[in-house]
Amino acid sequence: MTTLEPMPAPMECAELERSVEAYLDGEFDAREQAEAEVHLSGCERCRKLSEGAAALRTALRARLREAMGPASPAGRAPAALRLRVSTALARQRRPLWRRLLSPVPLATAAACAAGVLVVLATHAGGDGLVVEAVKKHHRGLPLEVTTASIGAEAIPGWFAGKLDFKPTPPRFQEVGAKVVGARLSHLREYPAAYIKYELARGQAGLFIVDDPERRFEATGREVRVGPRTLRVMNSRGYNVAVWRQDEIVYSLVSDLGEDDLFELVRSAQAR
Amino acid sequence: MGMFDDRKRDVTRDEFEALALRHIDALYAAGLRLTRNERDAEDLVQDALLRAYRFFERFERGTNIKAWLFKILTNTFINKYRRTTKERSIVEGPEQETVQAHAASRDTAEQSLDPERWFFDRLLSDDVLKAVDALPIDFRMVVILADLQEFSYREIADIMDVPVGTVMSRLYRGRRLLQKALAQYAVDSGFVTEDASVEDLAEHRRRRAKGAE
Repeated sequence: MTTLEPMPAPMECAELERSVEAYLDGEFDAREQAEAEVHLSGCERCRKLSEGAAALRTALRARLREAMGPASPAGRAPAALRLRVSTALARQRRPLWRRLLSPVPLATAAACAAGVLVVLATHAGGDGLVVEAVKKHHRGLPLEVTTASIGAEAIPGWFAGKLDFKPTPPRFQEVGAKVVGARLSHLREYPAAYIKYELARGQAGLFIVDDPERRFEATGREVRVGPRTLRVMNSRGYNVAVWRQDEIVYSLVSDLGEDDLFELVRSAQAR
Repeated sequence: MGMFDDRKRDVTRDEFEALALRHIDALYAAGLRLTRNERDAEDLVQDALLRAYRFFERFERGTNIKAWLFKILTNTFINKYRRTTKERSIVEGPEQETVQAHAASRDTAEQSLDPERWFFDRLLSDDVLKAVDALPIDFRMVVILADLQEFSYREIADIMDVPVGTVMSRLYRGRRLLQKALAQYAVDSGFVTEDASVEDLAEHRRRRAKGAE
């Protein structure tokens, strides 16, 4: 056996034995692989060695996947961990947001207790909810259910069991708004129902979040529409109306002008 | 502007969540084998993900985020947890040999020539986990990265901050130790019989005992 073979050198048994792991792990480049295959095709013993090692590798990997792959309990992050991580991520930029919050005024609390529709007090800069709602609406992620697939009437029921609260989307039919479909969404780390509407003159997206702890503050201009007090603001060209009903906060993002937006919200009260 | 900052961070967090949280199962699976208990594994994964989020701007877009996350997981483990566990840090001695030095030894060749005994089909997952957990930690990590997560040698070298040769050598030894342990479980469970290439002495005695009956 000479060591002075010209390139490409025929591979010897010892060389193959040395590198069979790397070969089977797919670490060889095309030329190395070709050399190995030439050798294997002509050497029964090495072929058996390689096939045996490959079978062993396959079996080992299968056992590992079974024991700790994504289909096994040891291979799946517990739901509690996912929640912890999401919450912790949200908190990473919480300090600024926290600073913007101040205690809910007494009058607001009293009004809430009385079951009156109220909108939270204004805090300069506390528009995170609106900014996020606009961004999410603007992005236009695919809907999970559509009126075409399950019918508009079935959409509120579709959210059942998917959220910790029962979202009751207002009906906007009076002004010719049609439900296009819905998806699960979230504003900050809080799960939200998102419903998309097709309007006579544009589109709208409604986010419904459960907010018993009053984490969401609304800024903007206060406007009374019927018995309801709205907060209205504009972000990235969208007009947004935010209102609260008990523990539920609604934010309606639309490309409507303000007057049409108010009309839409007013129609929602006639349900 | 406050609002501008807010929006910018929202985008970053969305991107991070979309890219990184997809790998939380894989990170947890590895974390659980490293820490060997669920509470520490959860803490480890959370710490690693928060670190990754803090340093997210250093992540080179378009490169392998899973490898990047595993590197952070490994470093977090070394810095925070390994100190408190009684793991030996580096496996000394033979681990340092290069892969060429040990080549394919005679018994590997022999084992490989007779693979049927090595399928471990009927092993319980608990036994597999026990066998993995019993590996020295550096071997354990390399085997998980290569055979469960299917990273390349180069990626594993980057994740563990060691040369590719060390990866190969640890992988080779780690797999062999694991195969041996699994074979032992198989023997203990009685569905694989030992033979000369595994435990020639035991087989020899068994045969002799039989002969003496």
